[in-house]
Amino acid sequence: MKNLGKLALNIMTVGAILLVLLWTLYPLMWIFLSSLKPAGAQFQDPPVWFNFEPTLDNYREFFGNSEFISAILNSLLITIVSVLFSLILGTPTAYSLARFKYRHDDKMLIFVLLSRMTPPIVLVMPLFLLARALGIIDTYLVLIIMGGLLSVPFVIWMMRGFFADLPIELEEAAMIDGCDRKNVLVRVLLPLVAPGLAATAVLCSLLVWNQFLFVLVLGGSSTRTLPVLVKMFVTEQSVNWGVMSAAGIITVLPLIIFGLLAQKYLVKGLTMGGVKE
Amino acid sequence: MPGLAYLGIVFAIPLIYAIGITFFDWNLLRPDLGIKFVGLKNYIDILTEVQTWNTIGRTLYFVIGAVGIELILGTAIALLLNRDFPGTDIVSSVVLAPFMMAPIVVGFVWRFLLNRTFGPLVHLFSSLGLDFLTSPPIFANGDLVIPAIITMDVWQFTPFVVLVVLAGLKSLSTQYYEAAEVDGASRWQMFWYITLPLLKPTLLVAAVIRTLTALRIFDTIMVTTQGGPGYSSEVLSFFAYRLGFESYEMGSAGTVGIIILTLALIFTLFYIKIVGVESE
Amino acid sequence: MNKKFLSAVGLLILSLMLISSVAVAEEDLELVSERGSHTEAWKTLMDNFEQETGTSLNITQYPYSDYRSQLMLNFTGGQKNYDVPYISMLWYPSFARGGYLKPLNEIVERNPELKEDMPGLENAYWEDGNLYFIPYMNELGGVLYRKDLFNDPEEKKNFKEQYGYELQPPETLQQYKDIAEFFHRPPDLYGVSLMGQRSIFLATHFMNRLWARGGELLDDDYKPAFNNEKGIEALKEVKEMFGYASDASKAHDFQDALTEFTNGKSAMAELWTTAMFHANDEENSDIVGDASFTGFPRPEEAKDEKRPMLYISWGFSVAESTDNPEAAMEWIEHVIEKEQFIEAAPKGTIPTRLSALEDSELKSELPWIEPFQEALENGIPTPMFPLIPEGSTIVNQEIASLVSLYLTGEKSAQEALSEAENAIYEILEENNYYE
Repeated sequence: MKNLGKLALNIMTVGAILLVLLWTLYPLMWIFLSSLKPAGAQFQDPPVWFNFEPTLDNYREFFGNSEFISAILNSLLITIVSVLFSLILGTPTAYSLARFKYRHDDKMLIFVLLSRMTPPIVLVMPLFLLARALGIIDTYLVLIIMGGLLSVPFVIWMMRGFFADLPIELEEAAMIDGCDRKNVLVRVLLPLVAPGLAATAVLCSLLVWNQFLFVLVLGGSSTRTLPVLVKMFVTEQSVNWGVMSAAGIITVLPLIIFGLLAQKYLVKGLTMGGVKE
Repeated sequence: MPGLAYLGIVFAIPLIYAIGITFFDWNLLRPDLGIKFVGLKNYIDILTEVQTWNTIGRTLYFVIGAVGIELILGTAIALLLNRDFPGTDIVSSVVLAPFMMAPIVVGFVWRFLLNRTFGPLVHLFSSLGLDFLTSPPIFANGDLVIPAIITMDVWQFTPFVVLVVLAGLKSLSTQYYEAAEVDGASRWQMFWYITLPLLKPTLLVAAVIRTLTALRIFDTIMVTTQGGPGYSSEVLSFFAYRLGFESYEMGSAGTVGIIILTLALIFTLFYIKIVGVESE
Repeated sequence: MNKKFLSAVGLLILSLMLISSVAVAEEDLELVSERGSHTEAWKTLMDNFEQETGTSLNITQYPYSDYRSQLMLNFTGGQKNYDVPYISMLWYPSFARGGYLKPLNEIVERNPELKEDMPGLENAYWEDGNLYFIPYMNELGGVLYRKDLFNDPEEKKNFKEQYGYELQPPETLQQYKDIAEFFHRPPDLYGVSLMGQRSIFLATHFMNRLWARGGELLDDDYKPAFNNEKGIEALKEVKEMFGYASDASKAHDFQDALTEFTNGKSAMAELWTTAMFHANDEENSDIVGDASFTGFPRPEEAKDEKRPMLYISWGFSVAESTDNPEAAMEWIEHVIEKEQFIEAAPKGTIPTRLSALEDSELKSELPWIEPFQEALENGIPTPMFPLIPEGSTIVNQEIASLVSLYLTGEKSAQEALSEAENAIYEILEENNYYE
């Protein structure tokens, strides 16, 4: 009887997993297959899933776009620099907020939270007007500042949780051994929160890489990133669904690779305490 | 603290600027009219407009609908993937994929899937006899357009909830379960009386983050419906965009922005209140 | 933190700033445009111009949906990125108002024959008496139809039996409706392809009908003038026509409607003239050679009157900030030469010079130029809106919403019209139009 119950449960589990996979993969498979379809097979009615001659033309057209190389480099550069920059700025702040008692530290935290929750649409116009006054529109600088604006609050919020979870005795022991605070942070604590740092880096990269509105408004022709380039394949006449699909796949690919590499840290890092805040 | 100093410059200054311009009448298309101080006129104009309240209601409908479904579905999937079962690792990685996509790409994907002539979902619906989903087309159907946008959002962001809840589950201590099993508790009882209460803080984090990002939904609406048909899918952030980047009314656009921020604050305080009560 | 690391990052950022300021390479002329067929047409003239003059040209293109806001941000951002923006006629008033464009009066002074030969110029002089825009492409709102279906003897016979007159391209609104009804055989064939997404495209269906009835959006004092019997009739007729369109039409934008027509799914499409290029595009169209164009129909009683007709024009302007206005004007004067027009037209543009339209070689290559020219002579070219900076807001936002709200049944025709009337009145009043 018990075995039968277990079997039923297992069958249900498998069924549920298959359902989840179907839900997730149905759209993904469709655009993946569409990215391999020749122009004629895109608009077939009824649509075909597999019955077509696969071709790499769509990818060729996307890669062949004169702006593709610069867009992917822009995306990589802006994401990497802003995430590094945010980790460097945010981590010590998170550490101080986790360890020291300040007179207004609750207010500081609320300030961080406020900056995290302010929608981009509120800030984008003032940022545009300020950037205009400073003459830095369509530069990497302004987009990296924007990336920092998105990521720094996130880094502070997450990393504060990780630091708060570490036993204070560790630092005390290290300081007795003659380390100063800075060294303690770099040599002792950072290795311990490395998974958390990795998880934070992945999530920040998502925020920056996929950002559209800020780049649309603050960027320009020389700093166009991949998500903005994707939209270029909508012309007056038609949406080029094949190239658009290829572009979608290429745009998400770096993140999936990065995400897979960091995946074991992602859950582990979040488990460390970030989510308990 | 460098992080706070940075935010003090690049966040606080634009925010003050953003609040400031809501008291002015300023149209970028008409520089000849100048920038006029108008006090609370923008707020009065916008808040006395019935359309604004409909838009706020529509935004809440979207946010609550999307976040609610994501939390329930995400928790269920996380529980499923947390089971000791072969292959769950790989499945977890696959499930995360939509979360990695740029919202603008997600919008195009769904516009493609739901295309009335060559979209596979539409054909699936018709072969299942679900004609109300195909005619009129979903993105032109005032009643279904928000549910459709909720569906896109759920597809993209449920994985985030899965990720967070999975992390929460992994950090739960097993001792409670062992004790409960000894007491002969059923699976359902264990979930309801042990897992769920222990997961509450985790779920709240997920809820806060998801609510705040759902409030700013923009890219997907821009590529699928442009806020139509009528005003059926116009949410606050798209309204602000239209005022700001189509009419170039800086003051009114800023005012709608501040309304969004106020909603975000209310939601956050609401959640903090629940957390606060819990932790005492 | 590690000082070396910090300074390395600082250096990186600094060098990025330098790179980005150098990245805007020193070209002689920077052109900017949307991604569309007429742009592709004049792009083919760039090489020749470069060789002839030694001026080097560079072009940036944006998708149509972002293009206006990108230009606007670029201008208000005070950047000097572009010398020659290729823009819609509807936009020049707001750019001129902002002081972002250079007057181009010299071009007409140097080429006086343009006054007669380029009818679009009439709409291109701004209220300050200066010319900021040289029309390069122009087209009319009208109906694309399938010649093969219209000439099919069987269809002709059946149509005559049913409606009592010959099947031919629609000249009156009633004929247009009859034909749409006649060919509406879902799901194989739809009567007409329309554009129902809340957008400027949907607004054109309403304005076409308002104008055909002799109505107008604004009167001479800029007061809204569409909230009347003509407006209601026009609105109701739009809804009626959607009854002869595919269900999908309700969510269509221009691209979708065009694709439906070029896939052979509809007998007619209410678009504008350049759609003919796409209908004859071997690569993407199933109806190559089967389509033609006719101007927008009228009410029976106004059949032979000149009535306002949707006139769309794109053309060149010169940025105030340009360092090289002479070269910019030289480029413009080059591409609007008759011969250049004739060379570029078959690649996707419709010349704004009558003398180019008259060219017999062009007419044999693009047979639908003939009915286009007829329509042009038979109508009063009317931009989507009186050319003021608020124009595109009013049509894009208020008129588009008005039609969409009525179509979904959320508002009655009267409510929708009154609401839009008030909204437009308020916008214009606030901006001092009624003082």
